[in-house]
Parts: sequence; C-alpha cells; structure tokens
Amino acid sequence: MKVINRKIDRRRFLRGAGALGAASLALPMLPSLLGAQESGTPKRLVVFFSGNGTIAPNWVPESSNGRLTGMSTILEPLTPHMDDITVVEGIDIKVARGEWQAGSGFHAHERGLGGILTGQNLNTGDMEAGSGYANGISVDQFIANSMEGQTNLHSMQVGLITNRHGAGWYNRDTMTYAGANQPLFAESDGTKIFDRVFGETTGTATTVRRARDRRASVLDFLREDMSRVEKKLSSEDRQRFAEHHTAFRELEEQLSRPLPTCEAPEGALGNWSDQSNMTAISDFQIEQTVRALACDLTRVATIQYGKGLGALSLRPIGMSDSWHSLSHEGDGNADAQQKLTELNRYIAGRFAKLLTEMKSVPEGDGTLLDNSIVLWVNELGKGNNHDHDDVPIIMAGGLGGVFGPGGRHLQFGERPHNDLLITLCHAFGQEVQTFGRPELCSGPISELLA
Amino acid sequence: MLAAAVGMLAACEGNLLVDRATGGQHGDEHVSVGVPGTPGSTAECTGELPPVADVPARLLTSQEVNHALDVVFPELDLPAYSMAYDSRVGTFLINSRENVSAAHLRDFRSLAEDVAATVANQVSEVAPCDDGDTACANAAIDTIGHRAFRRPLNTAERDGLQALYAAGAADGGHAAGMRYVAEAILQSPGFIYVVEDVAQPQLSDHAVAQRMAGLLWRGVPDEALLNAAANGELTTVEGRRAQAERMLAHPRSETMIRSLFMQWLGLDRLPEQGFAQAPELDGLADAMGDETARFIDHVATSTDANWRELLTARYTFVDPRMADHYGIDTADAEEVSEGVWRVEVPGRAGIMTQAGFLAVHHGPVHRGLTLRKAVLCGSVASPTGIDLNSIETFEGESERSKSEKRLEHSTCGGCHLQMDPLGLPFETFDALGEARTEDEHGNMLSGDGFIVGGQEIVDVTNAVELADQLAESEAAEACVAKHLFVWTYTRDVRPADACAVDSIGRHLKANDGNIKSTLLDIIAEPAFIERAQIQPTQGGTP
Repeated sequence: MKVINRKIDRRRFLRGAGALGAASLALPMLPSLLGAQESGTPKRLVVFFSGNGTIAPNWVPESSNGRLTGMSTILEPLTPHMDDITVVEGIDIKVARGEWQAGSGFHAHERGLGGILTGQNLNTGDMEAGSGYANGISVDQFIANSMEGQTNLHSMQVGLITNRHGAGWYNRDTMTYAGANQPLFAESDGTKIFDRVFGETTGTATTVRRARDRRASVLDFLREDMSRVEKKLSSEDRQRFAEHHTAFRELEEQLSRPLPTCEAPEGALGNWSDQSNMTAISDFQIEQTVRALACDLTRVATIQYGKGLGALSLRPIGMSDSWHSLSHEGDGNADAQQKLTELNRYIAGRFAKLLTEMKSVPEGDGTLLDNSIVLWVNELGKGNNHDHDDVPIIMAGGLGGVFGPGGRHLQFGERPHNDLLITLCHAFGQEVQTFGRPELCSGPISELLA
Repeated sequence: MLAAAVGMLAACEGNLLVDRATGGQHGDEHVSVGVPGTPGSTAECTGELPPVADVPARLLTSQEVNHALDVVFPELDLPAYSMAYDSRVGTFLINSRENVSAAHLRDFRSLAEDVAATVANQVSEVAPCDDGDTACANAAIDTIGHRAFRRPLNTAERDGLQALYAAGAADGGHAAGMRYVAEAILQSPGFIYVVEDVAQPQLSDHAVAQRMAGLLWRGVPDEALLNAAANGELTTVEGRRAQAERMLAHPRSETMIRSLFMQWLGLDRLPEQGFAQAPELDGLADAMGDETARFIDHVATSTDANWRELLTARYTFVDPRMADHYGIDTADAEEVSEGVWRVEVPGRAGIMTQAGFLAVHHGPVHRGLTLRKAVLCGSVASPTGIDLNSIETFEGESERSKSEKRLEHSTCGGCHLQMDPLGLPFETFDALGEARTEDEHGNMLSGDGFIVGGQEIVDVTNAVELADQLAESEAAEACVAKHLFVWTYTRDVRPADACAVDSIGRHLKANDGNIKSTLLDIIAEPAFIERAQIQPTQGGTP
C-alpha cells in the first residue's frame, strides 16, 4: 500500500525516543491565555486503555494497611510514581454481563469495551452476533461537554495501533461515544493528530490568517454544495449525511475560535502501525497529548492501546505471538503467563512514561499531573475466561486536590464501575445521580475523593 | 468422536452450514451461506439479474481517491494519499457503512489543501491562463469539475466555483484562484462521495459509468468512459460491453483484481504485520507481497482471473529472497522476468500456501476461521460466557493437541469444529510461511485435517488437498458469488438479494470461475443500470 508523504518539514524524522529530550517539553506558561477564559488552573481527564485483561497474581501490588509498599512484577515500572498512583481492586464492569445486554450472544470484548466508559449495555445492531454500539455517552465525552467552548479542541482520542477491524466488528474498536450509537474512533496516525491539534497553531501570524481566510471561503462554497447532494440520497444515507453536517459544523466552529500560540512537539513519523517501533510511536503520541493538555488546547484525552481483543501482538517486546491468542491459554501454561506478564509490564512502562511527562510540566505550585486525573482501564478482568470482574484499574493525579492522596491500595468488593464513572463526574463538578445503567448506580465512591 | 462432534455443531451460534441454515433443503445454497437471519429463497429466480435496491452512497477509498487524482490532474505528479478512515464491508475496503465524522472531513481537507497548493505552484501545467482571462479560467473550472464529479457541473456548482475563483484571484491572481477552486472541489460531496440518485429507478448515464469504474477498476471513470456516458452509449448492453472490454484490457483492471483477491483473503493486511525487528526479516514482508502480487497478476492474465486457479495453482513466481525462503533451487526453473522464476514448490499449491497468507494468518484457529469466513462464507461466534480456562494447556504442547482438546470439549467443540480442522493442515508451515516438520517445542507435525460442511466430512492430509477440495466445493463457489455481489453493490448481502446472488452465481458457473468474464456478464445484464425501489422489508422509510 502506498504511504502518505506530505510535507513534514517542520518535524524531523527520528526512529528512537532518545531525541525527544525532556528539555523540549518545558513549555512556556500561558497565564494570559488561560486567565482570559476562566479563573483557576484547568482540570484535565486522561483515560488510558489496554485490553485483554491482566494476570492478576502478577498485577496486585504489595501494600500494608491500604498503603502501597511495593510494586508487582507487572507494575514495577510505576515504582517511581508510587506516591502518585492509587491501585483499585474489586471494581466490576457489571453492565458488560449478558443479562444487561440488548441481545444474547454479544461478545465479551465488545461488551466490556462498550461499557467501560459509558456504563451502558450494547444495543442490537448489524455487527457480530447482532450487536450494535453502546447505549450512551462515555464519561470522557460527558465531562468534555461540560467544559465545551473553553478550549480549542473538545477532546482528543489517541490510538496506538487502533486500525479498524472489518465491518461487523466496529463496536470492538472504541470505548468513546458522543452519545448512544455515536461511536468516536481513536486516531492512530500521529501526523493526523498533530495536524488536528497543532496544525493551526504553527506558522507566522500572516500565513495562519491567510490560510484561515481561504478555508472560510471554501467552507462557504461547501455549505451550499452539501444541500444540493442531499436531495439524491435515500433516507438511510440521509441519516449518515446528517453526520456530515455535524462534522462540517465542527470544522466551522474550529475556524471561529481564537488561535492559541503553542509550541508543537517534534516527533517520530513513518509507519504508525509498526509494532516493533511501538515505544517510539507511543512516546510521540504521549508527548503530543501532554503538550495539548499543557497548552490547554484540550482538557480531555483518551489513549487507547489497541482495541478490545487488541490488534496488538507481542512485537513491542520482541516476540511475535498474538496477544489475544495468548490470553486464551489456560492458567497452567507458564510460558503464556510469563509472556502476558511481560507485555502488561511493557504497557505499564508506557503508562509510567505518560505520568513522567505529565509530572515534568510545572503548573502553579505543582505539576500538570497534580491538576489532572489519569485513569488506566481494561475491558476485561482476566483474559482467558473473558470475565469483567475485578478489572485492573489504576488512578493517578489528584485533580487539584479533588481526589485523595496517591500511594494507596484500595480494595472494594464487586462494586459496579458505574460508581467510578459517577465519581469522575462529581470530581468535574457534574453532580449526577447515575451514569449509564441507573440500576447499577449507587453513588460516588467516597474513598477515592479527598 | 467425529459424529459426536458434528452433533455439537448446532451449539455454535451463527451456524454457517449450508444444509442446516436452510433446514436441509437443497438448491438454496447460493443465498443461505453465511447470511444472517432468514435466508432468501431462489425458487422464484429467473436467472437474470434483478434490479438491486439500496445501493448505498459511499465515500471514495484511498485507492479510488488516488485514481481520481490521476484522472483529475493528469499533469501533476502527486504523492499517493492514504485516508485513515477506510473501512470494510465484509472483507472488502468499501466506505459505505459509517457515518462521516469530522475526522473524515479533516482527512479530505488536508488532502485538498495539499493538492491545491501543488495546483497553484504548477498552475501553468494544470490551467495555463493569464491573470484576468476569465474565459480561460472558466473553461479550466469546467474541465476539472467534470473529471472530479464524474459528470458535468450544474449551474449552481459552476456559479459557486467561479465566485470562489474570483475570491482567490483577488488575493493572489490566477494561481490563487485555481488553488481555491481545487481546494473546494476536492472536499465537495460531488468528489468525495459516490452517490446515485435514489429518486430515479434507472441510473443516469454518468452513474452507470461510475458503477462500471468502481466494479472494474476500483476507481473512477476516465475520459473515454465519461464520453461514452455523455453519448448515451452505456444504456445499451452492447455499449456497456464494449467499454467493459476496453476497461478489462486496461492495466488498471489488474489493480482491481489484485485488490479483489488480496482483500478477499486478508492479504492486504500483510504490510501491517510489522515483522519483528530481526534484521534478517527486513524486507521479507515486501518480498512476500510481491510474490503474491505477481502470482495474482499471472492468474488474472493467463486464466481470466479464475478463483479456483488462485486457490490451487501448482506454480508461483519467486525472486531470490522467496526462493531462499521456500528452500528451492531456481537453477533449472524458467526465468520469466529478470530475477523472477516460475517454480513449483513441493507441498504448496495456490495462494493459501504462499508465505504472505501464512504470515498474515497464524495458528490453526485463525487460519481455519479465515477459510471458514472468507472461502465458505460462514460465521463463527466468539466465545461468550464460556470459561476458556476449562481447557488446560501445558508448556510445550502442540497446537494439534490443544485443538483436539477443544474439539472434544462439550462447549468448545461446536464452534472449533468449524475452524481448527480447516487450519490444522497448515500446521506444517510456521508463522512466516516456512515449511516445517516439527514445531518450536520439538513436536512432530502433520497436515491432517478435515472440512465439515453440511452432513459431510471430507478428510485431507495436507494443505494442497484442502485447497483442492475447497476449490471443488459448491459452498465455496456460492461464497465467491456472494463476494462478487458485495464487490458490485458495495453493501452486505440481504435476504431480498437472493436472486441477484443466484444470477451472479450462474454467471460464475457459466464462466468456469473466471472472475473477469463474470464481471463482464454482470455489467451486460439489462438490470445492471437499474435500482430496485426501496424494499418494503427494510422499513423506516419516510
């Protein structure tokens, strides 16, 4: 397949992560920009996803009286961040159980992925086993909506190898939803994310203004043009085309927002699907995300490592096995257990990198991480039996003191994860009674909050 | 043991078996295979292609966009673009299912801006006009618009583009004017979508041209086809046949056949495999892809793209890298072009035993599932509510041994019977498609497997026998007809499409499995240029 080769002169090609020095992350503070929009330091939400469950015996950290005292094999890369993280056990994605679904026979990966951030079941649809998309908005989008208009970008959906499954599997590709049956798909092409997030903020004032004028004229033409095509469409296609209108308005709105001036990262370009180059790709995607948050271009981001079931293999750690196939092996297969442990540990390393980057951005008396809440989730608990109980969850950052201190190991018992979603909403000032399926909601998890 | 296992098949959801899906009635195979829901009946079919309903509007794929850019701006040497949001209908890259998001539009915007900047830089080649020569510019707008929209501009479009040109020209003269125009055209729904007017039961001449270009080129109409449309030639069977023959003789049709066959079997995913960093594997994926492409090209030209030949041919075309990979000596082989030899590789036949296929699909379960879905049009549900840990495996256990445990297991066996036996014959090839007699744990390997279809079980002892058996099966032929329906009408098969699939199946059979002749016959059917009105069973119409 042919590879895009567009002008990329403002970024240099590099293969390793080494060239992305910490020094380049020292962004200028932008108090005037922030101050103009609202008072106080912005609050951010980052959701980090990896799939296929974990190997619990190698995941659970050491603790004493609820305080973390040492990391497990998988979580060892998080040792430097032990005081910033809270390890949460005993949370179930109950809504992913068959009894809550709109049809029988929906698959475990899709049920988990669709439910993890929405707290909702899957609807029926024309995908595998008659399944459809999730029946509600995801918490990241709900929180982003509550901050609508305060930043240039509503939210970011960053993907690592999230190339789409074939038709019939789209509900296995994403966890983010703008509303019921309105999936948003993560972008794994770093160039595209770059252009979307920083594309308008680089260049001289004159070139940026001229480009904006041209875009405005072109949009004027396209607005008229859209209505002409519509008359020819079937009702089914007209529904799809309605989304074209919504998307078009988003481009118009972006053009009408004030331009922040922001320093864009330099980064790895090339094959964004090359799993053997995963660390460099991942580092770039993390850096883009952190820059966008630091510059207040957006306040809500999701970073999705693969999909439900995962397109990822073990190539990032130099092996060729399929992650998903391996996760089907029985507990007695020591080789599989060890490989999966290594891979999960590798992902923990990426999560640690995210935290390191966020901590390296000073903000007020603390860091960007202090003013954020970062959540690491999974669509399954245990990979080989595809259950949704006791899913591995790690939280980091205090959201400016809204959440309790780090360094904790909290153990709940079969608590529906809807309560975790409610807790996030409350932390962002949205005091909802329920999130997702109301039957599974009892209220915010007070132990998590300060 | 086998009889008991076959009895468990009903336990597997999405049961694909022809006879089971139709309650054991014969004659229904063509439509029942893999179609979810109530199967249609072919009892009423005449054999002629009926008009098909609900051909969806769709976004151009990357492949079509790049072809369109070549047609719209033949003067420019543009880079190849890749749209991130290409999606699939079944196994094929077709953008007819999804809603369009802002991300799609941004994709097209960045492409349009990039191309438009090139247009401005090379305006003397694209549209050589002096500043202020409005007549010249208007003619250029008409030409570019016609090619891009695959039909003449209408008055409103022409007025809008001329106004846009004026805005650009005011800013930076003719070059800027053309830049504005190109940027708008390449983001316009008329360019990015393929839309057929649903109000008309018969397609417009230009819509027929687009259907033909999509089917035969996976691209857009060229000038000759647009002219044929304008002259009304495509409303006659003879006119369409003449253009279709021209198009199938055009090198672009090779691109189409490659896409059809590669996407069918998942081979277009080969570049995504990202082989491990091992330096000795550098370039291997490309070599595998090249081998498969050469092989497909040969099948396309020597046998008119016969699908059975694709699955069973006893030859392939290797470069030194692949010869080494397969461990064969090319000294006595025929060198068909520089550095490429036509060879027979012992133990291999057809595309499924080529390294490319084996490197994309690993392990007996996935290899078997791929064949079950792509070649037999079956669907197999993923395990749900099953404790997968109930099968104990141990370190060093062979895949065959694990498969046997699954097949014997009361809950796993039903579904795995449809996959593992089709995948096990490939156990004698590793994840890079190299032949092997033992696995990494030292277990001796065999190619034994079997095909479960209907009430029958066919045993095979290696992958070549498996390929031969599949190529002979009615189920596979019916499945190919279904794929050709999707390829033609860019959407999934529905029960109401029974007669259309039946008709395609008859053409396929009459042409002995030659795909190119079959496509030609589909285009020559009178109803090819019609749309059926909305099916009452679909509901939800205003």
